[in-house]
Amino acid sequence: MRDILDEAIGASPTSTVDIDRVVAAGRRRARLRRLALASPVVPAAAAVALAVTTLGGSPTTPTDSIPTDSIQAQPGTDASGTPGAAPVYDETPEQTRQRLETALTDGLTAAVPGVALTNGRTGQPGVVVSVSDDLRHFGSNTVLTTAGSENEMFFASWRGGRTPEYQTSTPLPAGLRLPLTWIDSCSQVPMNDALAAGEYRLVTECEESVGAEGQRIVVTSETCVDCPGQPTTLRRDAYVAWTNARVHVGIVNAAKAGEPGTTSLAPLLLTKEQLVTIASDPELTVAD
Amino acid sequence: MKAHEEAEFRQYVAARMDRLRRTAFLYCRDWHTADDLVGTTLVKLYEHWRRAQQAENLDAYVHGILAHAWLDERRRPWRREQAVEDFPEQVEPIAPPPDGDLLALLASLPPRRRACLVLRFYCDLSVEQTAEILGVSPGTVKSQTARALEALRGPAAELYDRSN
Repeated sequence: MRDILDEAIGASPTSTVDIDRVVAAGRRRARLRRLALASPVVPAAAAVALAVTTLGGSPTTPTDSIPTDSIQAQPGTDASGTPGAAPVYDETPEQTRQRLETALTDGLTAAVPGVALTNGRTGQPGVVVSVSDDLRHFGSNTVLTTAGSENEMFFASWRGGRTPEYQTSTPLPAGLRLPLTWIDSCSQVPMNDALAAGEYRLVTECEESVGAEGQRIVVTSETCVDCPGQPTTLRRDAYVAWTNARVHVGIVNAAKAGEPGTTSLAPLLLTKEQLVTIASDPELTVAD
Repeated sequence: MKAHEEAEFRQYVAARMDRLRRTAFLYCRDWHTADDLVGTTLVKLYEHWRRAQQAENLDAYVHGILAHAWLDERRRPWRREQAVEDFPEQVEPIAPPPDGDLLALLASLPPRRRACLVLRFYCDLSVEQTAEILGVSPGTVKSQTARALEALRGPAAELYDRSN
């Protein structure tokens, strides 16, 4: 049967698969994976690069194309002022870790009934929150799966109210700017990163608001405005600042984030309101 | 990846490129899409090259990536083909395409049934290897393959008669 099929296929045309580009894309993805593993938060620049690789279908670098006219930062409500204070819990680090796992699981299952949650790093069922050696940072990488979609979620909760600093055990690849781990206001949203994915344009939107308990909230969304079919939001992040704690929750619309050809273009599993609700939950804070 | 590993990767790809492209073409019947699928497959293979080399059958491992790349690709909203969640209990006879050929008949099969045929008879994988790739039981592979062959048998005979 193989011979019959070979005969039916006929002669192969000249290949357009460039092994050098394959190797370059593989190296880039390996670097991004190392970066993602080095920090519980997927760096903003890395996320942009992931989207570029995924949507473009062919490898590009973050500086390949910068259509600045396609990038919009849209400040919303003025969120200046002193943020509220998060509650302080009397608990051990392990108790904190478990509290965060429970709160995150509850928030996600309430927002997306029936969602399956798995550890994004091991594939094991459930939400797993890890803690840094200095006990000041808790993080999680979780995959959300429903019948029709798969998203990856990144959660980080920092003890204290100061801006967290990016840390990595590996050097930054050439051409990749120092990633942001935190956005305090829409004025900090990168304006010059490569947001073009091949022939498609990515638009970043940003909104600021104040939560019910005084916490300052910044939400950013990366949307492919002219993807085939419909505008599609590929990624959304919520940054919630308290006087004594900071929480970041990001969700990426990719079955296997960063893998070319595997991006799901179904809507994100969490709406902006749901993401903000989850990220604003005081139960997800680790306050000083 | 170390230099010698990358050299091995390049050698493997060079040796298998044509076979991979032709397999991808059987899935999608479009050379541009086939090359996209192969590119996607090779990027993933590069990333997991060390693990892949430890696989019992490297070719089967790679064909698994390719099959899933195609199944994933089909889920993109701009693809015209419609996914079939459940296979019908009864196999309906397939009307031969007006200007049909074996590839057109193959394309008329439901995707996973098509994948069974390609993996079993073009990639020369065993029932067990095919089952592992598709995440189904060996029995399912056997039944899907049998139904696919049965569906092709009638139209293929008609084509044969017409061409003779």
